[in-house]
This record gives sequence, C-alpha cells and structure tokens, in this order.
Amino acid sequence: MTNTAFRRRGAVRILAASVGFATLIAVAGCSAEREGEGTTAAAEDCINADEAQASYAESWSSVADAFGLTDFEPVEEEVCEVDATVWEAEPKQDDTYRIAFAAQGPNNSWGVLSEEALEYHADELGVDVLYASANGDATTQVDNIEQLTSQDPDAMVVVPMGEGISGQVKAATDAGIPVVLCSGVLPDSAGATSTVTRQYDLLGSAYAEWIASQIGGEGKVAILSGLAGVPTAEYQKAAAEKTFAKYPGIEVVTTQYTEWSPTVAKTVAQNLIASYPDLDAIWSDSGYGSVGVIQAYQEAGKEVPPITGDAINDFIQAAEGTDVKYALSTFPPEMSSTCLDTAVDLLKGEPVLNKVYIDSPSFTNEDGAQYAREDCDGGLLVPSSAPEDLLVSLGICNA
Amino acid sequence: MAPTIALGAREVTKSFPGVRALENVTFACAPGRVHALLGENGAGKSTLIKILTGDQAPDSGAVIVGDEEMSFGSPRDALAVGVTPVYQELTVLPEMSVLDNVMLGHESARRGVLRLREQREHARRALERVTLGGLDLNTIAGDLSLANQQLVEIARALVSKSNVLILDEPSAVLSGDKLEALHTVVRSIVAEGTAVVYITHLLDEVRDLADDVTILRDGRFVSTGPASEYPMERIVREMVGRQVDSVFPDPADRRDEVVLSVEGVVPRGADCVPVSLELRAGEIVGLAGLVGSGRSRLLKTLAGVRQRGDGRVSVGGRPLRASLGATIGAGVVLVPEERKRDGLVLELPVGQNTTLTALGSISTAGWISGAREAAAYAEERDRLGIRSSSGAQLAKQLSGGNQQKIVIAKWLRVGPRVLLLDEPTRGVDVGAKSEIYRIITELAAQGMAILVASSELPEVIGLSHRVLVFRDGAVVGEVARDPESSEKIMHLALGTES
Amino acid sequence: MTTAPVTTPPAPPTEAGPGRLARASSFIAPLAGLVVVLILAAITTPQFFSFEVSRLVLFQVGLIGIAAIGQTLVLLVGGIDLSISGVMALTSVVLATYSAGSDDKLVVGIVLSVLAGLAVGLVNAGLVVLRNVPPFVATFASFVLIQGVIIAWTRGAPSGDIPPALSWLGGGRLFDFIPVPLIVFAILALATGLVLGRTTAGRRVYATGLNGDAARMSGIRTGIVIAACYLISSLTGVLAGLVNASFIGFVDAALVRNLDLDSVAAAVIGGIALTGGKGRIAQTVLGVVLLAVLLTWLIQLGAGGGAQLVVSGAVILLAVFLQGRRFFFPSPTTRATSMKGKQ
Repeated sequence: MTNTAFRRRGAVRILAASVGFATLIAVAGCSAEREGEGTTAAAEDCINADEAQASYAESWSSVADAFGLTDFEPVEEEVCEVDATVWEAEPKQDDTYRIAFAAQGPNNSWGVLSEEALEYHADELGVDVLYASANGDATTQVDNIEQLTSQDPDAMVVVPMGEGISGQVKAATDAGIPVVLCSGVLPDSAGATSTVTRQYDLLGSAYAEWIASQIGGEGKVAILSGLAGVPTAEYQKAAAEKTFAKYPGIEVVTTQYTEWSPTVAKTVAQNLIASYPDLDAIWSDSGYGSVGVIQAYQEAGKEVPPITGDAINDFIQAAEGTDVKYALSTFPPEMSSTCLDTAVDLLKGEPVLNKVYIDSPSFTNEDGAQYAREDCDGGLLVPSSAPEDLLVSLGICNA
Repeated sequence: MAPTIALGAREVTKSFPGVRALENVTFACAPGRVHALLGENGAGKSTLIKILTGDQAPDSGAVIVGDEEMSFGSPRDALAVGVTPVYQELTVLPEMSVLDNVMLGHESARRGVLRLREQREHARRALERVTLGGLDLNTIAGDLSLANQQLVEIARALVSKSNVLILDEPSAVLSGDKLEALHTVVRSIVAEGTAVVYITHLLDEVRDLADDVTILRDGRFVSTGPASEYPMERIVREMVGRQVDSVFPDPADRRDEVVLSVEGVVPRGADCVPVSLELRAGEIVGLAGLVGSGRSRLLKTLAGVRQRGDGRVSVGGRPLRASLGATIGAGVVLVPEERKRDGLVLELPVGQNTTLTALGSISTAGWISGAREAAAYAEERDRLGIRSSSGAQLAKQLSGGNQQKIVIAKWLRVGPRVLLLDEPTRGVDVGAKSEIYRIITELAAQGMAILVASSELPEVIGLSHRVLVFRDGAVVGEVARDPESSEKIMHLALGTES
Repeated sequence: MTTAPVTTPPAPPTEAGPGRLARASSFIAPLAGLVVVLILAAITTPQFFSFEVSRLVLFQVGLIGIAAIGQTLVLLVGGIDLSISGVMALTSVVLATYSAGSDDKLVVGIVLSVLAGLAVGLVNAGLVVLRNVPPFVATFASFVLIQGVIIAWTRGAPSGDIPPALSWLGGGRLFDFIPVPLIVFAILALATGLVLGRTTAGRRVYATGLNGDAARMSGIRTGIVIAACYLISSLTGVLAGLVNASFIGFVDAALVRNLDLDSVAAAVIGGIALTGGKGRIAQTVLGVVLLAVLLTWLIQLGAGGGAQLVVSGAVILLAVFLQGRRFFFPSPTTRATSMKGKQ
C-alpha cells in the first residue's frame, strides 16, 4: 500500500518502538468504534441522504464490477450533504480564495504527487495555496495547522498524519475555516467539514472477496500486511480477515509483514514457500510487497498463487508476460485535486458531501497489461489521473 | 566547660596498598586557636584531613571531636558535629548562583514565606565577612575568578555552625588582598571560639596567623608546639628532616655531549617564564617543586604530548618538531605521571603493552611474529626484573612497581636517547622503588639522558647529578647533588629563600 | 625509606585465569542463547530445520554478518555506526541511477557507490575524530543526512534497476545451498579475524579502544585508527548494500533493511563490548548466527516487524546487561590500586 501508511514508514523504522505500535493498534481500534457511533447519531438531520448514499455505493460497485464480484456489499456508512449555506463565503482577502494546505510533505513519491497535483489544480482554479509540509509527522502537522489557521485562510485541506491533529482541526473549524480532510480520516470529534478519501475497508475486503472467488471459497491463504500497528495497514487487514471469516473453507495460515518493501517481502515469501508449499492465494496490501513475492516464487521455480496489491507500475511490469493472477486497485495521490475542488465548492456554496469516497480504477490480470507505463517511474500508481504534463515535469514519466 | 581538643587524632594509622600513608599520628587542635599543619607533598597531610573529616576511615586510632572519640561513617557525620572542611579542590557548583552555593546544604533549614529573604540575608552576611559583600547573589558561581570561588566556598563554611574549620591550602588560590581578608576572617572566627586547622606551604602565613604548629613527615608525626617556638629554619628542617640515604646508587659520570637542548620553551596555553635547560648524555637531572609548579607540564611539552607554545628543542643538535610522532622518532619519551591512564593499556597483556611502542620491530609487513614479541618481552623482563606470571598476564593484574617497569620497558623498545620520568615511584612500594632507582641509574650509565620530576625530595636529590627547582612554571634555581641540599631546595620551591 | 629492605615482591596473581575464563564465558552466553532458540524453533516451527529454511538462515547470516564486521571494528574503537543502513540505501540508489540497469555501467557504478560510501565514512570519521562529536550523534546525523539527500535527489521516489550482472551476489548459491553473501561474509570474517588477532593494525585497534590516551602517548595515531574503522564500516555498508540491491534487482524505495540495529545487535549479542576494545570476530560471528536464526524463526512464527524489533531490542539489552555484570566485578587488584597510593 503506497498510501498514508507509507509516510509513517521512516518514523516507525527509526523509532523501533513496540510501545508505539501498541498505541497505534489501540488508536486504530478506538477510531473504528467512534466512526460507527457518529454516523447513527447524525442520521436524522442528514441532508439529501439518498443521493449522497448512492454516490457512496457507487465506489463499491465499481470495484465489484472490475473484480467480477457478485456479492459485494458496502460496509454501513452514512453519507450526507454538508449544509452549503454555512460555509459559503466571499474571499477574505482581495478576490481570490486562499486555501491552506497541510500536506504530508515530499518524503516519498506518494507525497510528492499528492501535493503537486493539488498545486497544479489550484493554478487551474485560480486559487492561492498556503502550503505547509508535515514531513510525515503528526507532531509537525499540529504546529503546521496552528500556523495555517493563524493566517486566516478561506478554507483548509489537511492530509492527516495522525489522530493527534484532531484538536487543531477542531480549532480551525471553530474559527470559521472549513476543513477538508484529504486521503485519510479523523474521528468525528475533529469536526472536519468534509472527508475526501478512498476507503480502506473497501480495498481490504475487495481483495479478499476476489481471492475467495478465485479459489472457489476454499483453500489456504497468507496475509501480507504492511506494518503491524499502522492504522492504514490494520484497517485493510481487519477488513480482509472479516471477509475471509465468512468463508468456512478458507484458512488464513499465516499473517506476515512486508514493511511495504520488496526486499522484505521477498525474504518473507521465501519463508512462505519453505513453510507453506501449498498456498492457494496471497492477500497483500501492497504492490511493492507483491513484486518481491513474484520474484521469490519465480526464483524457486514455483507457480505464483493469485495475489493482490495496489497498482504500482513496477508490479504490473513484473507480472507482464507471466500468467500470474492478480487483482489491483489504488489509493491515488492525485485525489488531492478532488480535495481542493471540495474545499472550493464549499466556499462557493455548491453541494458537497461530508464524506467523498474516491472511486479509483480497479482491475485484474485480464486487463492489467494495458496500464503498464514503460515510460514512467516504477512506483507510480497506475492508471494515474494526474495530468500528463505534471507527471513529466516531475520527472515521474518521460515526455 | 570548653573542651581542650576541638578536633584531633589519636595514634591514627592508615595504609594504602604498598604505602603507609600515616603511622601513629597524633594531632590536637584546641578551640579558638589556628593550628598550622605542615609537611612536604606526600607527608600525609591530606590523608589526615580526609580522616578528620570522615572521608576515609583510619586503619587504627581514633578521631577526637570535643574531647570525645568519634567514628565517622561519612563526611556528613563530621559535618553534623561541626567539622567543616574547605578543600583545595574547589567544590563550588559552577552552574549555580552564588546564593545557592553559599546556602548549599542549608536550604531546608528554614521554611515558610520568609525563607528566601532570610536565606539571602544569611548569605549576604557570610559573603561580607569574606569581603564579597558587594557581590550580586545571583551571579553564576562559575563566572567568578578562582579566588572568589574559594571565598564563596569559605562563606559556605561560615554559614554552617562550625566548631572546627579546616582550610586546605587556601593560599594556593588566594593572594594579596584576598588572602589578607581570609586571614581577617580566620582571626575573627577564632576569636569566637572556633578552631581552625590551616594547611599551607607559605611559611609567612604560619608566622602571621598560626597559634600552634604540627609537622608531619613521611606519614609520621614529627613535632608540635606553639608557633612561637618554630622559627622558619626549624620548620623547613623538620619538614625535610632526613638524610638522603644509601638506597640511591651513585650516578655514573655524565658525558660532555649535549643530548637535549631546550631554549625558551613555553607550554601552549601556559602563562609562564620560558624554560631553558641542557641535558648531557648519561646525565640525570631532577626537577623539584611543589605540586602545580609546572614540572609535569614541562615534561609533557618536551614529550610532545602537550603542544609547545613557544621555544626551541633540539636533540643531538637537530631541531625537534613539536609533535608526538616526531618526538618519539627522535628518541624522546615520557613515562607519564598517570600510569594507569596514560602509560598502560590495563586490559592488554603485559607483553603487548611492552611492544606497543615498537610494533614495527616485531612484525613483518604488519604481520606480528609471536616469537619476536615474546623475545622482546623476555628481554625487557630480564633487564628490568619484571615479575609477571607470563607475557600473557594482563597489565592490570601487576603490582604498581611492575606496572611502572612495563611502562619503562615499552619505551626502552624504541631505543630512547632522552628519558623523561614523571613521578616514577608514585604508588610503588619501597622494594620496587629502589629497583626503579637502580634501573634509572643504569640507563644513564649507558648514556641515556634522563629528566626525573618528583615530589619526593630525597628521590630527586638521590638520583640526580643536579636538581632544577620549579616555582610558578619557571626554574628558580639549580642545586648540585648534595644530601644536604634539601633545605635549600625547599626554600627555593616555597619562595622563602632570603 | 631510611631502611630499604627489598621487600619480597607480591606473589604474581595466579595464572592469567580471569582473562581466559572471561574469554570462555563470553562464548557461553550466546551459545546458550543459540541452543535455546534452536530448541524453541524445533518445537514451534518444525519446518525450521528443512533444507529451504536453513538456506534462508544462511542468507541472513551473510547479509547481517557483512555489516556486523564493519560495526564490530567501530565498536572495538569505542564507537558505533548508525549510518550503515544509510550507506546501503545510498549504494543502491547510486548504482541504479548511474547504471540504469545496464551491465556495461556496472563497474563504474560500483566504483561510484564505493566513493559515496567512503564519503560517508569520512564524514563520520571527521566528526568523531576531529570534532569529538559523540559517535552515536555523528553517525545518526549522517544517516538522517543521507536519507534527506536521497529524498531530495530522487524527489521522494528512489527507483531504478540494478544491473542483472550483479544478481549472483545477492541471489547466487554455491551447490544450490550456500548463498554467496555467506561466502562473502566468511571471507571477510576470516580476514578481519586475522588482521585483528595477528597484525599490528589489529593491535592498534584494540589498544585504541581499550585506552585511547595510553595508545596515543605510545605513539599510535589513534585518530587514524578510529577513522580507518569508520571507513571500513562504511565500505562493508556498501558491500551489504550491493548484496541487498542485487537480491531484489531494483531500488527498494522503502530502503527498509535495518542493518544498523541488526549489526549492533549481532556484535553485542556476541559479546563485543560497547565500551570498546573487548571482543573478537569469532564472537561477532556467533552473534550473527544467533540473530539470523532468531529473525528467521520469528518470520516463520509470523511475528510482525514490531515483534522482531522487540526481540532484537530485548536481546541487545540482555546482552549488554550480561556484559555490564562482568564490568561491575573488577578483580581485587584493580580496585585496590585504583586508589591513590600517596597523599
């Protein structure tokens, strides 16, 4: 998974602290609960509920279509329209909107594309961006949001680095600044105006359902998660486990961690081959991990079992010309431009959902080859909806 | 009724491995008197003070406070009965304010709202007595001059209700007005009935200040009595007080060839008079002087361990660059004062320590020959009489004397022309001492030029052809080899030569 | 000393007993640990002793071991090198960026990687030797610096292929069983062991680590000795980086292999003292084997990265604790003579 969790990698590695892991697990557990509570309470004054709900269901059914899943129900989630009149406003300074952007920072390729896509789109829309980089660190972001708030922007887009920033987000909305969460979630208590993201539950269970359909609901499966205790990895893994539990014939024989690294994944896969020579499928949350898995199986001269992951260019190229069965989807960094749209729409008084679930391309080995981009960086999530000239100017793709 | 002895010691004996630091020493300081405790370096003054203040326990004998025998478990016990020391090594906390330093240890004595103001007042009064009345209480102690730090420390001692104040060589730091002020304070607290034990090397101070005098020598009690009975000549005679005995072999005749020539050398960072000297082949020159008089510093500078600030050094007529490598290359080597820290790698076998300076000679293209290493060690072992179970024994397991021989041995491996020895017999037992003397004399007889710095006068005199006396980093005099010269040396070192 | 009877010298302490005993005991703890882990592995994961898994253990021994050799040298001079992972990452990025996966550019790419590694080693050595920066701080700063450089240089997305001609280094095996990295490690260990034990260079390393002051005053240029150890450590980092990069065949953007921790852990578990000067390469080898077995066993158990770090950390603490106990009981001779004799 090359998403928000990706960013934490450096910190987690350096910290090497089990205590931190334990806390994160606890936090992940709590937030899942809180979200559930929040939605039922708000049910009554939900504006335009049906229409909003339909857009949510859409993001699930498109994956189901792509993976050929017949029985794929969205997890319960209440989506409403935000009361547009509350946030409608003229630009506070001059005649252009100033949008604060609390970004992750360019500490990996996902972060680079995320902020570049937003800046690019801001140029297109003609709004000003007040930028602050968290360098992947929640504590830095707390400070960033405070500073951005003090500059009194018209709206704020935040790529949340952790739940620790909830207080500052709340303070910003209390100060009359609409806050759009981008590529991540915070508890309802943070009071974000809208959340624009791709659902982790969706990815985790869609991969699991696809595996179930591939192996006919029966067989031995290995789960390759990213980092133990990191919320983005744990949400997906939990969703996968829940899905597999529905199939009595499926046995999850082992859960391993790849640290989203092909090197680690290859080592882990070599161990899998030695310990479980008869695996039927591998659920992986990351294309990087899956690259290592493919190498390990190929070097051992064994057939690669059906495998999942996110759609990184490297993986598709590695699988090209083989008969590896795979199902991929993405957590696209360029969703940040949708985040900006949402913020600007709020200010213009146009209808906006409180939860915007991004629908991004999902596909399997049947139609995957077409997405390979020989001319682009191996880490690019494909197909990318980021503008081509932006990808070129960033050096991610060749002209 | 006031006690007759405010602080004293009865037949105190204290030994350290290989050394008897104090033997049956009796001492008594009466209330309301200034008692000067005198003796050479190493005479046992510091050990006695440590025992009197509870820092060390005597092997036998007793400490007496207020006419009663006491047994201190720690310095706190001594403080509790009013024995307050001001040590030579400053114990001012440099990061804390003057106020905190003065009131250190007395903060919790008062509570409530008035505490701070009261504290300041107490501190102010104590500082006034040591002429620091004008000092801002919030000044950080570390910013003060050494002299003022010493005075702050004395002020701290004044704050506590002391029956006995022990001042360990305050004149090492204080001088002029400050010292005068201290004398005034001492007289006034003595007038209040406090006893003061005063250690000093300045015999003028003794004359000005002391009511009583006790002299120690070689860990033994020499004499005690009213200061009026101690003219300066008697003090020096009794401090030095012995004949240089026959353990020192007579040095062989020195040769004419000048091996080491030092011209106007000043150690880097030192503010002192440039030193010049010449050393001939086969000559042993002793460096005498009090601790801190600059002997060690000069040796380190000559050995290239410390950087040279100025001056020229030449060996065998060829100028010597001021670097460790060049110095060793030219055959000028130092047997350092701090043997364990600078001389030996304690965790390595003695054989490896011996060859550490000359690894090239036991190896071929970097490959060490075990046989050559063993032979090198065996040669030095026989030459110097090193007693170890084998060359593989760790250096830390040897006695002080044998360790010192290893340090000498490792330098002999480089074939030195000039051997610099700093306190060569410190922490070495008597038997090994005379062996080391024999070694030094023999090496000189073979043509080596040798400089020996030592705090032990008999050693310097007994070993050397001539003795240079140091004071404040400068050579203040030269004394020829003569058993009767120790008093002269002492006068030179103390600056009491009339 | 008016009378100077030549006192009988103190009887030499009985044999070099403590030294030899301590040396033997330093092997006992890691050996016991190895036996315990092997027994646990046999019980919980019976497949552990299969041909395939043994081969994986040997690969780990090789990879960790290469870095641990350099780390051991640095530890022996009283330092620590936390920049090894950084050097590894730098190596793969430099090689991939320069060669772009082309075999023709492999040699120059490797030369450039070595130069990059040497540069890091020089920075470490300069900070530690010339500026007296504590090694922990200096090398960690280098590590962070390297990470920053890589991120800035590659815009957060290091990528690229490693020339396939190098793949034998990370992926090759002798007799289909002995991984090439293990052979590299074995040669390195043997050479380092000989240098440390039999050469003047080794003697200088030990003397510098045990007592830098005395070594310096004996004419050993301790600064150069320390600097050389940091340089060699960086070079083993380059070698480990080449092994790791050729193992996967392209730049791993996660740059995740935490060989700093692993290499320190291996050396310390083996009994190399963090205080410097104590320990031999054989002990490092033992520590490496123990750690590789432990880590592979944890993977077999399905423990996550967190658990692996917890176990590594716990084992280091245990090893340091055991070392510390030895330090707290100095022999009576040391204690007695450490008091000032006179005054």
